[in-house]
Amino acid sequence: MKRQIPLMIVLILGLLFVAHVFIPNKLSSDYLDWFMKWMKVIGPFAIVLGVFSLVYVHYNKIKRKAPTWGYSIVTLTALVVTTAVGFIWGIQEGTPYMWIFKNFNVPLGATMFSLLAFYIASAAYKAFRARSIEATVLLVAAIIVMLGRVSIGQAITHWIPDITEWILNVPNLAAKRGIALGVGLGMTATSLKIMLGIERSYLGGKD
Amino acid sequence: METVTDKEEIEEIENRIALYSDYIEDKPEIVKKANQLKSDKERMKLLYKTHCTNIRSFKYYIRKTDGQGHFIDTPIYTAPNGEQYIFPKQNWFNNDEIITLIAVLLFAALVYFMIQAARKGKRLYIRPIAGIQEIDNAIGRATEMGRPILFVPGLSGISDVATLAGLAILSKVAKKAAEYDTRILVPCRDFIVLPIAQEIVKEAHYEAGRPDTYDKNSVFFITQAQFAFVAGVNGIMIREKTATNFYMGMFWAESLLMTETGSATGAIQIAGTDAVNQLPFFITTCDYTLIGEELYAASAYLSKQPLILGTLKAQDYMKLLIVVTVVLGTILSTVHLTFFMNWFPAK
Amino acid sequence: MKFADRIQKVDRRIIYVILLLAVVLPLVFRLGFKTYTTTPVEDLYRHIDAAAGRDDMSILMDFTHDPGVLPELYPMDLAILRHCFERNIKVFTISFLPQGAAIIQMALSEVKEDYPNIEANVDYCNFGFKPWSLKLPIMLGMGDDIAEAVETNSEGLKLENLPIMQNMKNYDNIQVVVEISGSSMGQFWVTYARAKFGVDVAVGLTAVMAADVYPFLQTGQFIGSLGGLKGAAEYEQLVDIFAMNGEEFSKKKARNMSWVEAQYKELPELAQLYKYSKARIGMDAQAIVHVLIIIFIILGNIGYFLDKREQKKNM
Repeated sequence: MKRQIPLMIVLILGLLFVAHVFIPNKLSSDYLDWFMKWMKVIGPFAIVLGVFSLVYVHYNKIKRKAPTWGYSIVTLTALVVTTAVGFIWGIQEGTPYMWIFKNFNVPLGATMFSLLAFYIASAAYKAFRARSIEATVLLVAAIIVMLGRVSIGQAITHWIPDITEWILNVPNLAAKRGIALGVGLGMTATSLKIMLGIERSYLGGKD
Repeated sequence: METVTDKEEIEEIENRIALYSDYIEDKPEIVKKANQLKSDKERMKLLYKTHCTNIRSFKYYIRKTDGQGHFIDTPIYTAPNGEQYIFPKQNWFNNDEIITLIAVLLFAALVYFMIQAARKGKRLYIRPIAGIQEIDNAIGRATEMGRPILFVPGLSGISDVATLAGLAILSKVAKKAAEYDTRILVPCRDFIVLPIAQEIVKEAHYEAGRPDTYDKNSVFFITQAQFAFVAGVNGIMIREKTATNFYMGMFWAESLLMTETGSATGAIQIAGTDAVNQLPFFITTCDYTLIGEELYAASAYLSKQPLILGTLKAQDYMKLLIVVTVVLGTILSTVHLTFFMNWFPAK
Repeated sequence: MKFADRIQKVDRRIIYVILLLAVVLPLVFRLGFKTYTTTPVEDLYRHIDAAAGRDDMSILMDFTHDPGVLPELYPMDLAILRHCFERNIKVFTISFLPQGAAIIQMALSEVKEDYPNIEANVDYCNFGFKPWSLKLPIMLGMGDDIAEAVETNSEGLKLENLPIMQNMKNYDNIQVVVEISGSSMGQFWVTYARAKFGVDVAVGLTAVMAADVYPFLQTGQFIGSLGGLKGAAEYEQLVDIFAMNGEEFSKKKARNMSWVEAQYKELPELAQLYKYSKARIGMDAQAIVHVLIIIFIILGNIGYFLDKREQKKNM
């Protein structure tokens, strides 16, 4: 019973959602409104769970003096200070919250993201070899696209940006469509399996 | 009550009464009608209904243009009863979706028949996928090395089907890990995914008969911020020296940052995603990658149940049908026969 | 160690240092490479521009991005906002990430200081942060009634009472939804808002994600896109040469480089500010880095082939 009730809910709501796609009637849109209200209620509760998990994990680390527990203090302090500052002074421009955002969040995030350039450069150097005909084609295409995306390509010849557009618009697109087709079907099949209760690992436990 | 005796005052009040009765006379039909009703509730109901009808009523005319700024308008359409305002009727079926409905029914039928066939014991061949077959070995490796396994169920929310597929794989991986008594770490970016992942790992431990080894702290929330999450995950890889890393679900611009770190720490990495754009990064830095639909198929492969294998086979047939339709449509459109293409509404 | 071996086994830290120099030097010493505009960017510019001066049409900018991707996406935020404020186009801003709300604040205040006549809740309205879990209800709800779906703006004021909402009802009053993000959030808008209500959607993406949008561009599900710093640089240029100089958009002119250069000479002071040309400056660095990576690839391959020849000889 503990398992059947959730499965029934999934099936009924799922079928109603499928019906909603085909039925433009007011009844159907009222159902959607009602459903959306429920979603709005669930969201805030989940935030509490997330924050609780974060605090719990790090509090335990500090308590046990686990290796690198110092970082946990940093995490918890950041959590408390940012939240408190946001509540007390608001989050408008010119508040301490914005100061934290501009001077911590932005540079830290940008640093993480900028690592990408370094990783790509070293990956290109180490892994991009003309081992076979396919790999050579890939390599030539990569060089053309890289040149075509910056002004140097255009400066050499206007063909490079044109070929870049072609590569992105034709072979790239064809491959993407092929994969997207499979993905779309995979999603539909997974949704169907969930709705029919065939796939129930998201409920936790027994298949 | 006070009686007014002053002449001027009486005159003023009479004027006012006259003014208001004029106003009532001039009022739109609907307000008069509403005024005749007894209760406030009924009055509001009538007014609201009229309001709703009015804002949905339209006049129509056709404008023809040559796209250069010249245009010509037809007169406003007048219905045979002389009415210009037209109120749309509610439909019970959206005709644009008829092809979608046919496809859905066809797919559902295919799934049904394939499951029936599988139940009757018909052997369904499915192509072996290296990445999935290696999952067991990868878990075994972590066990041998005595180091934990890292499982990232994607960065998207629970409404993303890729996340659900990732969680389905998590349940299998967690069970195996529990059987081998290997620690599994699951960092989450979405707080709705978090309790579900916790429940899955917990159940997996119970099922493997090792409820004592389940540690609630091994499935945890890091942050919603995309790159801060990556920083967290990378830190875990380096500090905990994870032997095996799984990335199953939806990934975006951060994918290479995680997998490159993982490859630098020497972990075995298996990724699976339907984010086409991130596949090149996963393929170059991971040992095995499940491409697109393979992610969705993975849990079916791992459980080897006829029910799930049936849906997989149905997917293959549906794909064949779509490919045939695409080829047919391309040929017909090339020779300027557009009727076939026009059956499919553009969105 | 032989030459072939040596190039094959370069320490990755050396590559990192070279790359760092290739990024930093062009930022310090400007090279002034030209920017060429492409169709997806021009399409978006023209589409947004069509709402100029209308009080019943607006654009909706979704800032669902992290501070991490700001170097690439922030110039886009600024360029689009500047375009709107310059051409008197109404703007709504929203974010489904808490960090996005702060980015909106930053971008709005940065552009607004150059346009003192632009008023909050009259010319633009910041819906602020809405929780991720409300993404679907809001996206779908706006098809019926924006004020009802979004409820309040970032200051907590009821939308229905704001002057900007006078002539705004639902997606019919939204010229285009511009989703600026480092994720595939734009596809949600296509799936839910476009498929159901027919609103036009465009995206601004990081370069890593840029190749993702081509299938959607071809089918028209995205009416335009800005791909990475390059897209931002193109948009900056379009705003400069058309909106800032009071010119009507024309694709022919945008592609005519001598005309573009002539326009640059007549730019008002405002358009020459550093913050409005960040992407174009960044593109100099990007051009150098692309060439550098190509050299890396070629070097790596030379090493690989020398190595292979060596092995053949030894056999």
